Amino acid sequence: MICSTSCSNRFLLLPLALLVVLLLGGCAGLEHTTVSSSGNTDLPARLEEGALYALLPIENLSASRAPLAELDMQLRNALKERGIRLLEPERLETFMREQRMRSRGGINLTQSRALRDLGVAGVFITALETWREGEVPRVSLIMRLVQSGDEPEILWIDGVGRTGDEAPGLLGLGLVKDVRQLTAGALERLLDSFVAARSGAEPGTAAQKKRHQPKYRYRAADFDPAAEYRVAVIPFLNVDTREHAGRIVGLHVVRQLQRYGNLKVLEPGLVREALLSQRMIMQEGPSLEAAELLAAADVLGADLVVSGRVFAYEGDAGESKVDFSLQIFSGIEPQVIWTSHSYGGGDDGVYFFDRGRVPSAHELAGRLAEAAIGDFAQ
Amino acid sequence: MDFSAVRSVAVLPFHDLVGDTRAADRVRDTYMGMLLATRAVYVLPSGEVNRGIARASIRNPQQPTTDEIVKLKKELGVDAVITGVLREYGKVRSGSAEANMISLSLQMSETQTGSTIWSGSSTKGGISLADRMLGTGGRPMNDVTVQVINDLLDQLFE
Repeated sequence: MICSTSCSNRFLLLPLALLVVLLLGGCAGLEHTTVSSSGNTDLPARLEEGALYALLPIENLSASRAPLAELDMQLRNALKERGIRLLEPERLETFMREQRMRSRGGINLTQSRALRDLGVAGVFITALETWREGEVPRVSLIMRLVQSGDEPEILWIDGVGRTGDEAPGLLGLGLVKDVRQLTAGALERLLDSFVAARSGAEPGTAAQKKRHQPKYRYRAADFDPAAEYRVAVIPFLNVDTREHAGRIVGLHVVRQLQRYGNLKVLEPGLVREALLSQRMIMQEGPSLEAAELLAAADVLGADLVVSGRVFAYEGDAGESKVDFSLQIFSGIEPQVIWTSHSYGGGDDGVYFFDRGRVPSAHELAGRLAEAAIGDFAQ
Repeated sequence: MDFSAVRSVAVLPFHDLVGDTRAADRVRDTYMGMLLATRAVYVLPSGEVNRGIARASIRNPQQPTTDEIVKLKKELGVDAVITGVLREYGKVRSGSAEANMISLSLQMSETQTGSTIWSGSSTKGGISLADRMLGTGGRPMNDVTVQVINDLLDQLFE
């Protein structure tokens, strides 16, 4: 009798164990689907109810052709659905023509003031980081809201990266093969994150893993991480990797720096304007002289200048791989105060049914940047 | 040797013998970061070094002459410069096995007279017995780079 009961239990346990293994394998990617939000925690106080916002056309940093007009329309509709009043596209187009706006990647001081005069409280600036159609589609976006006025200020910044195979589920039923379906989900998550930040939710963080920590780091002994700083992030140097990788990693770093209340991150459009007006070409990264110049009150008044080099940014197909170094200069007393090197692959430390895999380069770059900036700022 | 007088160094672009100009950039960047992380010396950022090279009108910064090294002291105010030669960087194959390998040699010259005060070299990576038996493909290039640089830093400070 006893024997027959235990035997039947064994027969039941085997398929159950198999089911658990299949579910674990299928759901392995689920932990990566969260949007790691970062933003100003006093956002609710700074956003007026019913205020008018502008949505700049999406800047394509994906190094591939993408249906930008369609994505613009989707984004516009998604924002409107969330009760955000947007400047009409015709008025925006006229404004951009009048201001001779060639860059969609940021706004300078003149444009920021002109937007305020137009009655626009802030502007949404979006970068399309990855766009890939096909069997395993991929899409990633980084979006920020910049306040208009005498000093354009980043109020909120966030990003989302999705791949069709991030959560394959049981027997591959969770695979997404349609890039438009994937994009709709990505936009929903991104804007939900904005809505959450608007209602005062604390920014979330991804679970930190040792493998995402910088491989080496240096911080100057006299640097006080708790003090208040104005930070300028200049585009990273692109060393032998895909187009726009330097801009993308720069945006990831802006996003992570924005988490810290004592760091005031300057709008990248302002930094771009300063680099252009000072005719600063930095083929080998900034010199101490350049950092000092950017620190000048009549240029940017930046206490810290963040720069770096990107050695790998792969995520358009196959396993993601990101490799970059980060350097932070003090503008007050020209010297290097931080240097680190972070690299990793999406399948690092993955041994069991894709558990722990980071499918998108966006997510991987975000985690590496979060770990590096966390080390620097805390 | 007593390096206590050397408080700041400039790492010049490495001479590349492997035909991949970016490889030398990668290795130099890692070396500069790791040397700075030792806190033993202050390492000038590469943009600053580039500015000094341009101002001193050094035609071949990978292999500067003694006079040019002395000129760099004037421009950059460093106590020493480090030059390097990247001799190997890439995959090596033997039969069906392959692995990453790096070979790097470095020289440190003081900027008062331009004379060489230290030199070292290291080679890491390559195909191990485990790579042959298991076909693992060896360590990632970044890890091998860190191994080589750690070895060179040990040689410098021992």
